[in-house]
Amino acid sequence: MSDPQRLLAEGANDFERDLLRSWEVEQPSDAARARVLAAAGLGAAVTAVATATKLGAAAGGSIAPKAIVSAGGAVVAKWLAVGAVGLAITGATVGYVRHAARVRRNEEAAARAATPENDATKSAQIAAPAPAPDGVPEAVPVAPTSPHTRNRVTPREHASAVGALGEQVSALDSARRALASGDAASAIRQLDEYEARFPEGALVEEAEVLRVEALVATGDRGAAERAGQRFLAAHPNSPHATRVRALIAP
Amino acid sequence: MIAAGTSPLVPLAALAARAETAWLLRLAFFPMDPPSKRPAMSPEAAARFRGMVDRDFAVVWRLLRGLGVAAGTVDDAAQQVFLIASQRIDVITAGSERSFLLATARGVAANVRRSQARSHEVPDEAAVAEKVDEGANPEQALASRQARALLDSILEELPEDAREVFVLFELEGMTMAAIAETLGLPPGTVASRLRRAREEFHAASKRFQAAAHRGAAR
Repeated sequence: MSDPQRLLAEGANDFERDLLRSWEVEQPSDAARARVLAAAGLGAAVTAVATATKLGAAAGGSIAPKAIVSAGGAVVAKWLAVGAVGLAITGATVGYVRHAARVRRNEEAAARAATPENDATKSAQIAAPAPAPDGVPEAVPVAPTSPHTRNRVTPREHASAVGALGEQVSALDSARRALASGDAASAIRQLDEYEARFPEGALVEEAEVLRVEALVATGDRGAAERAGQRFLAAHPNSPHATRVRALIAP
Repeated sequence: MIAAGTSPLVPLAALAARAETAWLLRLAFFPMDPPSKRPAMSPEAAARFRGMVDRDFAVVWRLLRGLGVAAGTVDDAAQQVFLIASQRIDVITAGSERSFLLATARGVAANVRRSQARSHEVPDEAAVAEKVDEGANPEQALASRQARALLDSILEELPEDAREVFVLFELEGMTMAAIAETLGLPPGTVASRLRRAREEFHAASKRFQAAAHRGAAR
């Protein structure tokens, strides 16, 4: 059985076609995509505290901090009243209060760093962006760190990392727009700037792929092939590898 | 006030058995550290996950919007979907990645919608505007935004089961067979849901057009 024609092709009037075409006007931002990779420990180390807070209660699969405060607070009050297991409670309360203060400080720092271009702070908190040599960076969560964690990131470092990712995303977006509008030379310039500013940036891989595309667009096959081969040598297992091979195929 | 059943004589073992106690003890010794306890993905799993994000992030994101997740929440909802996928990457069968993501997106969308209904959240126009690529023509962008808002209203009116088939077939361009496989439905059921969704879509668009004409005639 073959599929029916889609409404856009047949059966919709002009008004309906306009409605159906409007589906494409909303698209996810590159920042949202980068956050997903970062939250999984790929591309940049991130933890999704705000997401867990926002969606945790609805999903029912995790305990949001608010719920912990509420449950913990009620139990603490009861226990203090009866004077039972005072030591454990004290330890727990101190642990939680310290943790809550640290999370609050980090969230405040992230909020201060937020800019219109950088909505990455909405649901992610970012630590060291430097990827491991194999392209799979180790996750270094920030907000929910244990007091024993050595690699603790200060709010200032944290805020600057958040800002840096936002700038990286904007820079690549701008290069991509230039390429889409047919100005490959400008795209290449912007990629040069990106790689100069962020030599170990979280989006270096994406920048390299974009460069190959831009070089192909300029008609410089030799340079495109060299950039493509360099990329494939550095990232043989990249999900972009197939695309790069196709781009530089004779 | 001391709750009934809680007294200084309650044995420690009974207290320790309580969920709250377990949480507090855990917080005392391992304060809020679950993400770092998560084992890192193997290089193969990481490459596979990157591939999923590369191929399917946009479709998951748009499906969430099509299933009624507000513009201001959709990034977080998409992140939730992919976080779940990253945690289960080892059990997702090769070749069924998209099915897994879309199925997870349906679940997350349902939860978020329930949450939105509870909080009476209304779509945030600023958030919608932020998602729209203004391009070089602001007037066109405005018209597209208005059309998109109307489309959202019509999708809202469709029954949930018909809505997802409509979104996947008419808007995302998936084949009927792929939709049947993804949703785990017989092809006949997909076809009948699509027919129903189309009828509702035409009926709703007629109502909107009639209302627009009445408004223009005033």
